[in-house]
Amino acid sequence: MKRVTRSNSLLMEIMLVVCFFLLSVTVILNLFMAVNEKSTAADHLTRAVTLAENLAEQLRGSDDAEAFLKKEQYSVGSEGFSFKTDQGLTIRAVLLDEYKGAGTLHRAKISVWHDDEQVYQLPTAWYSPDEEAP
Amino acid sequence: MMKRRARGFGWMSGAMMFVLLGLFALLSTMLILVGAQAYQRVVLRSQAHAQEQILVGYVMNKARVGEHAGGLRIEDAQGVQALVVSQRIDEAMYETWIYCRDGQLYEQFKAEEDAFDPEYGEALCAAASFTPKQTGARQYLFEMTAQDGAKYEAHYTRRAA
Repeated sequence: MKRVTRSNSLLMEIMLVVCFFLLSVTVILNLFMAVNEKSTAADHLTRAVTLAENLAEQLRGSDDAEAFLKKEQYSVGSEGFSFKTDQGLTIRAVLLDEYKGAGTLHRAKISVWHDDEQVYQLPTAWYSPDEEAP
Repeated sequence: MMKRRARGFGWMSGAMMFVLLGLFALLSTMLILVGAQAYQRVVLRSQAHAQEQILVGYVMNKARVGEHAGGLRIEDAQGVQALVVSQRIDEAMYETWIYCRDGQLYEQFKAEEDAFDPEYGEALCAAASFTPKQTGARQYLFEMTAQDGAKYEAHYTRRAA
């Protein structure tokens, strides 16, 4: 009878240890998942910054921003121009031109999205003087 | 009768303990493996970010500095394609050549009149390739490949006409 009691208490102890271990595993796995999510978010941010900066430079260098975006296969929608990259990110660009008398101030609001979440936004502006302007 | 039941139950609890200990060992091993994989993935991603930021950031900063300092051009010399940034220091012209060679991105600072020799460059960071291109009157495209094969592109438009 004593052996059975001792055996039972040992079994109970092991079950408690396993329960505690499972609890720890849950916490640690949650931690790993959080780290993975942060790492993925950082990955998206790095790519988004590079994409937005590249587009800003390309728009600045183009004679006609709209024509350039159309040439680069950007689709036109209610939220401006958009393009989905291979990495699952979507670049959106909203263009606004303001004529200033001697030239045009071009503004572009570039944003990069992952699913429905905005990852990065880069407003940019450049000025192109009229050819006749002094 | 009592003794028999007790002996039977003891055998059962022994088996149960064995199963629980086995489960414990299995889960521990799985936890270590999953943890190691997750850690490795995070480290690799972090290295890739660092590599991209160093490569792209360095080249773009040099291009911006080059435009303000005086000149930016692309040269093909001694078997390497280089981005050359010219600048005037104390009435003398100097050049910084940026190029890729033997799996490294190099920088060489020299007087304009000195001949370019890729041997004398200083290694900056690991890179498999660096190809600068002029795509328009003011537009440049820098194509870079990291050592892990990841390809990066950076566009630059000269501010001055």
